[in-house]
Amino acid sequence: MKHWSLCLITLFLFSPTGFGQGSKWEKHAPPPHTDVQCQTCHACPKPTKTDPCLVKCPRMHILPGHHPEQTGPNVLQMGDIASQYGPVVFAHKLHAEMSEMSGGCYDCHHYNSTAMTILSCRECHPKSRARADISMPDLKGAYHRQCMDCHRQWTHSTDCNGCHLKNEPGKTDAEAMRARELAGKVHPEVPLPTRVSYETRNQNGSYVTFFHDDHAKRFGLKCADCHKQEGCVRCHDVTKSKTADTKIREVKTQRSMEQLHEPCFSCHASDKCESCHVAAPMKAFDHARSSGWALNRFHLALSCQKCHGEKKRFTKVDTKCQTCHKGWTAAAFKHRITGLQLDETHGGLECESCHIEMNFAKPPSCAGCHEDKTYPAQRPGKMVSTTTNN
Amino acid sequence: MKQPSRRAFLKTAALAGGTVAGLSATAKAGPKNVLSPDRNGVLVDTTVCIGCRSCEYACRTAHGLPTPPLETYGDKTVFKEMRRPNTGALTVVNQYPNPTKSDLPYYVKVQCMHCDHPACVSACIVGAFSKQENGAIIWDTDKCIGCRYCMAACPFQIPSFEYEKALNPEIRKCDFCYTRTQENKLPACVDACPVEALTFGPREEVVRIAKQRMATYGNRYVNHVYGELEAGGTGWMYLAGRDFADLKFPKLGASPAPGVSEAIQHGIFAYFVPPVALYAILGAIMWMTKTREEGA
Repeated sequence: MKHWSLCLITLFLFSPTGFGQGSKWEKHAPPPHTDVQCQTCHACPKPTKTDPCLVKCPRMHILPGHHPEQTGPNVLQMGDIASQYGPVVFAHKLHAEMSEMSGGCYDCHHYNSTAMTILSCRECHPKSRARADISMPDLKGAYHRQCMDCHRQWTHSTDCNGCHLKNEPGKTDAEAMRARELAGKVHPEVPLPTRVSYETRNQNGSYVTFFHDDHAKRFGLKCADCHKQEGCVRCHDVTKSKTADTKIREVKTQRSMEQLHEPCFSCHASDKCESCHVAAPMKAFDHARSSGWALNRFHLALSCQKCHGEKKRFTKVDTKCQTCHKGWTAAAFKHRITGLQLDETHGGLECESCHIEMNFAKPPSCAGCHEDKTYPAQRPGKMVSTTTNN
Repeated sequence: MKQPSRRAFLKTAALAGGTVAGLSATAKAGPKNVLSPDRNGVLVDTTVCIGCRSCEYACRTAHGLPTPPLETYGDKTVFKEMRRPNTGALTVVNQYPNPTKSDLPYYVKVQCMHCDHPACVSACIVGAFSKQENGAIIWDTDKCIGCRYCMAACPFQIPSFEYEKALNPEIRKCDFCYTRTQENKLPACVDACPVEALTFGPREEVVRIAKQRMATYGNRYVNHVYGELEAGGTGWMYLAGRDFADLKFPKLGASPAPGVSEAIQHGIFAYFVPPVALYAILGAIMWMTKTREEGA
């Protein structure tokens, strides 16, 4: 008897349903809604990681998060109406990548966390249109809504064959060919603007200059940090109007004041209006002008985060060398790494003797000691290769 | 001689009036106009519609109306002008700009709304129109005399008339696919819609779903189910992403279109009560005058 109870306790402790599961379920944060019961998502009383026994159609946001992009399928084939058509070959990866700037995975996988089990459309949406429960569209409607909401260039002239393969001899080859073709397809790189100048209705300063290049490359922002709700239609002509000669075009959207400022305010919330709204388009960012500290050629090559940290809003950094170069002393500094090895006379001087006001971006001045000498006509040492380690 | 009192006269008048009102409430000769709790409705979600016009094609085909081939329906140039249902097309789809997403316009399908309290049924002087248990408003072409009162009465201006026909012109409008639904089939347009922008079901359920959708996707819709209350409630109801007035929906109150006028008209003309009442009143006046003369 004792033996059995010991066994049971051991089983309980080591089973994934026991107390040991806490650490295993780090991703399974408690649902943000207090009214969510275990049974809302799990059909069985003791779900395990291997068998979570998820009920169909769990609500969105109960289990937030999604699987990494690479683990998603590359190409999907949906053959729900095999009697009439061949399967629809869907470039899942291509769409997943593109969705990053709109609603992400949830755009299509609505009500459904993609963190674990991915429910297919057919698990919730009924096949028949004539039915008792009309709370959600039938499978045909659900599929078509996902595709046609963007792909409105679909016309009757294509007779459904744009997506549905005809059920005819050779279909299998065509199916495989299309799958291969779509598997390798990637969205072409989007050309990024360098600087965008907006003319606004603000009377005090009608120009807002946005340095896209700086934000995207220098500040390390990701596209989705600002572009949260972009649809394909922002660039693509979805109506296939006969007059449109190009595939790509800018579409005008009407946005409220809040919507317009939202991407800026996520970082620049405390800025005054006039720091962006000015009388004329701004010139490109100049570290020397904005901060009063010019960057020399070494510092210029660094990313902003290297000195200003990963935070979205950069803070002012002390210009002392020791702030970043911990333990740096003038005595220990080997000048030869700048490409110029100082001779013995100059080696012992203070930095400021030549570098006026410690501005290392400006050429050094000899005027402090030598009235007749200038840099770089005369050098206080010899040039060496900067790649050489000393 | 005792004068007929004012009280007695009022009593007679009230009795006559009561008879009229009573008869009007129980008018038996009126057309079939049932408001079954099982009546069907359709929810048109204009934010889902993609403007493919499959419904127009399906409607024409189901009603034996001449139609160009399906391939031609992809032509978006038809949206340049606002169209109305007519004798050749019982339903049409119109396009309206979407202020927030200029390239994803809204599309609004127009057809008979199948009112709960139909003005056409009320206005039809020969009782050709009727509202059926399943919610459809249909009409009997054999009874129709072509007076076009239904056209004038309809708050949505839906019935159309074959003006171009010199002989035997007919009234035409959406019949909620009465023959199809009798065979337990879906209306042709609902069946054809590729994105199920049209949801067919019991009207109560349709209203519930409309509200559920508004609650779930608040940003997507304006907070209004057009047709839930308009003109006393309609069988076809709409959800939209912008104000219904901008989508050319008529602004109607919650009172049924036939309303008061129907009560008065049907009351007055039912069972020849008015002529009888009129002669009764005239008789009463004559009698009173006579007794007064006798008393003098």
